[in-house]
Amino acid sequence: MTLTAAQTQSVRPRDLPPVERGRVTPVRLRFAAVALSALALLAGLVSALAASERHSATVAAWQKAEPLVVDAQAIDTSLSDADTTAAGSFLQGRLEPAALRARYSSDLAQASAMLASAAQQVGSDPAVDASIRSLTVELPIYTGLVETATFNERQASYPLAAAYLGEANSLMRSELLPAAASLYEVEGQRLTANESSSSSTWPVMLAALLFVLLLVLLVVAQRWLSTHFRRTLNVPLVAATAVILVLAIWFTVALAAQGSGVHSATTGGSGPVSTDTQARIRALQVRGDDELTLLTRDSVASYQQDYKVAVADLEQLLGSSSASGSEPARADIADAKAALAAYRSTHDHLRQLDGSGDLSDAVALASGSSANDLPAESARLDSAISAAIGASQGTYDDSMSGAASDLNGLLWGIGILSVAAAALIIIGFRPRIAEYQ
Amino acid sequence: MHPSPAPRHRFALLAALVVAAVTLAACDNVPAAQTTAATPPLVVPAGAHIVHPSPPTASATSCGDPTQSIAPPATLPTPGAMPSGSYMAEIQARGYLRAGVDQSTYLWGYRDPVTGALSGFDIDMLRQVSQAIFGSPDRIRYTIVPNADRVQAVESGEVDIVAETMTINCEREKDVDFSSVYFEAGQQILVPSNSSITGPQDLGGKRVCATDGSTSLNNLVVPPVAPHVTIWAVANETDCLVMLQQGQVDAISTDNAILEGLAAQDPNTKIVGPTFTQEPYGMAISKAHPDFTSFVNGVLTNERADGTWAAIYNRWLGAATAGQPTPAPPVASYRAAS
Repeated sequence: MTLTAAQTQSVRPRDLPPVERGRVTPVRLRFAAVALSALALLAGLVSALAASERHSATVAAWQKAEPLVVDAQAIDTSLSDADTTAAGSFLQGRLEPAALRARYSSDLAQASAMLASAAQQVGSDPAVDASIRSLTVELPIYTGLVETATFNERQASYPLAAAYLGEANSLMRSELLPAAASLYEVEGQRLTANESSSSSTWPVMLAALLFVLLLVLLVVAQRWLSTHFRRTLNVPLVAATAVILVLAIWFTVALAAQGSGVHSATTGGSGPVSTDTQARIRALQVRGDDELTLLTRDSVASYQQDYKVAVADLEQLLGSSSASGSEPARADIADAKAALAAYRSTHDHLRQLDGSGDLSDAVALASGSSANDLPAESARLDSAISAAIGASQGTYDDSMSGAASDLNGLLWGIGILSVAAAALIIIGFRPRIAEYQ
Repeated sequence: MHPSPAPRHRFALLAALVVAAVTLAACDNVPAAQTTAATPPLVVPAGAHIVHPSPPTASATSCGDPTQSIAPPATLPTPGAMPSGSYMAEIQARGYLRAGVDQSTYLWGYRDPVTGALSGFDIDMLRQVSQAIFGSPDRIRYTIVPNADRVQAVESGEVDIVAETMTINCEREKDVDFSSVYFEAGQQILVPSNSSITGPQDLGGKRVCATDGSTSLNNLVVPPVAPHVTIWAVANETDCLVMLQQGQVDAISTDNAILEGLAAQDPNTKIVGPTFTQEPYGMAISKAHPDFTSFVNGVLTNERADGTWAAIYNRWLGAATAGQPTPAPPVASYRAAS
């Protein structure tokens, strides 16, 4: 791109007043070149920051915050399952069935491991601290009570065993489960914050504004140059304009795609996962209430009062889940509703047997292994809700992974294209500036 | 023929910033180390709480002698052939006796570990009644009745009979009939074997547990019990043993019949001091069925005479009172025929 002296002469502007010719215009040209290329880089920087913020918030929500919520929910679910399993095991009589013992042990191992990892990862939120502290201090007390109950059961199935089990259950429901619930509420809020900052709009609006401003100024600059230098087309500037236009469109489309990915991850993924997890915990409590009614009912029928509340909660949760979940999860929730209806009719039969004095039949129904007994009904309900959680979790992972990858290429694109546009702007102005030298 | 130096520097700076922004990574927060002393939480059985009961009401004997029951017939009808029109005939026609019991009072009404069946002194009393009606001790449908609901369960006809360590007193006598006395219980004190408490006079300043809603609570605020007792009320007497084992109370005070059952579950406990109340146990039957009450008294009369009562006593309380002679059965007393 060398220019001969003749060319330089022929394009010298002639319409400007003599005083400005040769003195002001090179300065203006330099200013325009620097300002426009700087603006291109600034637009790149701002859009890169906006995209990067959304990307890291998306990844943080997907790979850090959401797993913590899942862990916190797993603590709650494992503890509920351990409690219900312990009661079910006592209904079986003196010799604790190996399968139930294994399930109880694995629930506790799961809860403890999740608790340890939650304690490492959560940082220094005081509410989380308090929950983790309470869980860590009280879980060994809980297991001690259950073991004391087991010991007494094996000795002679004394009513003392049921009394210790009742105390353990009371500790679980009044202290441990609320602590686990508050832990995942805090984690849930953190996730919501991450999800909303992964679709935050103002940096994106600022970047879009800069792109529009840049495009307008580029058009103005090209008109100015073509008027003053009588060149109709400055190829590098046209190219720079095209690059910025492509970048602006790409930026807008990619962020819109990412935003809608996060939205569907929230509404079809993490939202239903949270609702269904609550439902699963309620379903476990419902069965625990029926077991403990038979094991420790003596004074007030508090477990049956609790049953009524838990069943009402469960129905409401399943209702709201089937209204919001993704398609495969909805099918699972429909299964869960059918399983709950079956469970409830078995429960009614159980209460009727128990109420009419058929205690042995009631215990058999509550602890038996046939398909129409309470454990099987409860297992069907639990596995249907678990399947719904799995399906919603899959929806969440797919949507978030898509949302994150929507931005992957964009970051490189912004880097390359904005630097290229800035370089093209300089290149486009350089021959005009050179004309004065 | 060179761009001015200023734009080149700015360009380089901005380009670097863009590259930095593109490669920006989320930074990790490192949690601050914390040390906090933890105190063990007080974990007690569900519903356990400290109470301030009022002294027992004086109406316990306001009705005269509440243990006087309806006299038995001269001879019992043959099992399986209840006289028509009697309530026993109704029970026989139904095919089973409906009984209200407890399932967590060890030695009295509790679930057998191996068979899962209910067993105990109270259960055996009911099995004798079933034997007399059907010729079989097993024709019983049990309903677990909370202590507070015992009178109501009989009155409403939900059960035919309640055998549940139930003290005969004037207040209950107003609403239901009782069989003759089948066990003479009384309030005593259970303490750990190494306790220095020797009787109710030593309970001052101590923590004592009894069942919520029971008259045992009221008896703890009057002599011979020393003043200033911290009284814990629990849903179920077994919860008292849990609290005693956990060191949350110093003593349990309730009917000795129940204390025997608790002591049998923990060899490191002992019953101390004298009996300081009288708690005669009877089976509760609806006032609508005096013929059934009379029939049950006939069954009890036979048990006393033929050694069945002593056998049942030894079966459930023999181990706990080993070395002592089997006491004579309680003497029945009956109302004058009106």
